[in-house]
Amino acid sequence: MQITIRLLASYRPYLPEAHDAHGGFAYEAAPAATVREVLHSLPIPPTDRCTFFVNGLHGRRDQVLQAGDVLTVFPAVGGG
Amino acid sequence: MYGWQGRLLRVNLTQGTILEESIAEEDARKYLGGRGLGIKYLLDEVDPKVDPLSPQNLLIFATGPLTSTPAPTGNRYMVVTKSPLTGALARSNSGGIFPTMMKRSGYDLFLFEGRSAKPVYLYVDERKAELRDAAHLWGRRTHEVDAAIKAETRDDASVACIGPAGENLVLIAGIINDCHRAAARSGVGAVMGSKNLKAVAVRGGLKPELYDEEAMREVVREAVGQLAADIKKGSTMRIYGTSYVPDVTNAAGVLPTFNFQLGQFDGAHKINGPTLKDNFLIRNGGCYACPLACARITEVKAEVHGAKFAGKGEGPEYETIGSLGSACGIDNMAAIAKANYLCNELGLDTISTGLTIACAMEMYTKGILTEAEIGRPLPFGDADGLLEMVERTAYRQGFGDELAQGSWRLARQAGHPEMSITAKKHEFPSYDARGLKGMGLLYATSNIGASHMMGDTAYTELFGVGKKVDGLTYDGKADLVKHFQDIFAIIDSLGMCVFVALRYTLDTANGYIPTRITEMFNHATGSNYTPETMLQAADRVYTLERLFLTKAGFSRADDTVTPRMAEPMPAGPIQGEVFDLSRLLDDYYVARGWDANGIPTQEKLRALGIGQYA
Repeated sequence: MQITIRLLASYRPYLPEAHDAHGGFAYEAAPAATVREVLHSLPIPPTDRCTFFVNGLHGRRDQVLQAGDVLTVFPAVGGG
Repeated sequence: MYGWQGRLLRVNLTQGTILEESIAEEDARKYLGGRGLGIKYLLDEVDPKVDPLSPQNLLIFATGPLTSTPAPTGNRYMVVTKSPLTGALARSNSGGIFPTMMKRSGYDLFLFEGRSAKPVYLYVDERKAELRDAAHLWGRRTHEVDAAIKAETRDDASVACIGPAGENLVLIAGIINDCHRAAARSGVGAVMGSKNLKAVAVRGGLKPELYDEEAMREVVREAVGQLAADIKKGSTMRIYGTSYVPDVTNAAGVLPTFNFQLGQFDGAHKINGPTLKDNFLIRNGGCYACPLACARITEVKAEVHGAKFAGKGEGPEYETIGSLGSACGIDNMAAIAKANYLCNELGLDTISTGLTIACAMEMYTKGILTEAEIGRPLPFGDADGLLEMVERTAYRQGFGDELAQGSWRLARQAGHPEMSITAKKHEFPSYDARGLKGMGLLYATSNIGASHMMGDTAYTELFGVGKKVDGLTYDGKADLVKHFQDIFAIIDSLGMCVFVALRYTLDTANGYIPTRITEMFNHATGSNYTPETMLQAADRVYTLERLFLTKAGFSRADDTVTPRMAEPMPAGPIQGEVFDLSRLLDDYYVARGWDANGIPTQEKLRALGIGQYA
């Protein structure tokens, strides 16, 4: 099923060439894939220090994704 | 004394006298330094009902015991005073070079009393201090003042000064140091201007003695080693500074847009980290001896972006990108950078300036303010209007005289308090509380009014540092906010920068416990704090600040946020959400040990060892 993944901040170098202005790209996930499974398949550094939103909201790593979901992923760094 | 210099400079501007005074070791240990010692002196010496712009207000510059030590980012100072914007406490914080040089000039604190008859500046060179005539500097912008003072003192002097905004008693004026750094918030620049104090210049090599330098360096090595490993992996802060944040807040629907009417901005990708880095970044910069060096040294080139936006300096960082950018509907990074440079040169707080202009833009858009009253059209997205209003604010020219009072008075005069995005008249940072309930409680109960630097729960509610909690829930947020307010009070009192202290000197994975930072403090000063007693000291500092507010007339009735937070978010991931303070305030008072009216109880004061302030 197709979802969108957005990689932000220092994960941007891992974006595929075809991505939009928001750092988003189409991703073919297995049906009923969990967030954890998708994160593990991404070419980003160790995933336990990353933060993610599912459709902009707080999610769980064992959450099952649905077609059309937007998974935003970025390193847990903090702000100003 | 170790860690602390053990002395302060008391400058009586009315009489033109300067006295050295020792700081009692017992006080230093109990109130820690920085913010903690600052509030102790403020509460001891100032009537909390004082007029903030009168000679009776005290302006305090306070370094911490870790300032100018091997502690990574041990280079911060606080400006503590009563705020003319809010009538509550002001506690503004800055880095750069000045804090280290102030400590090395020989002092922990400077206390400025009274009012000088004529403009002066203070120059301190290794315990030799004098007040100098500043008539030739009055009216000049901060970068000119910096250069002029260096030329007439020493070029290794570090300068903190006000620009035209502080001189003109603009309520949202800040104090700029080293040209590009700001103790910006709460109108501290206006207090300095009201005393005819144009600048403070410091220099020296008097490093504080450390109690156990080897033990301290061992702990520092652990922290810096971890930071270095992260930088090697590709640290977001090193690469983007805080400018990466608009992508995060926009994705979560909490990016201030059109004066917090919305939480997502179509132009967010045009004002994000990659845009700044790819088009404007010259190189990284850093505060004195900082291993992170996250600052943005930038330039807007005339030939690329047009002469009207041309300039150079440091920044913009996230709060500026929010307040002067998306909140004002501006999707032009060159314009935001220019507005940022202008605020530094004129001595204005970018957050309050941006949100006050955004307030005016909303009122113009809705026909509440007219073109005739403003002097020009002022729709959202008008970059020319933005820049013109920034200048006018600093000089109180035309409509700038209205903007100079901040958004709360502007909106109230127009009968629309919901268009001032404030708590206690203090403009919000760029995190919409409807999506981050902890931040909402923080804004309502912060001792300076809405501020993220008084206990940034976004670290866990949004960024997931250590642990990610859901921003939309109310459960556990009262305790969380109290805890974050306390750990930020520790960092502020010891003189470190949150960006390194939070992630590398606290145990974030196990509840943000102040482990390493307490060890560094003990090794530097010869104290015997534990993480638990350090948190108690933080509670003591926070409660003293609250007492200042209580005695100034604040109580539960003032622990509120802008009515806009009760408007359901119209769109985006958090569509329909409001922030309901009533679900949190009682629990927060219980967590703090205050009564139902938000007043610290006698019992609590005694338990914290400050019963004498009851």
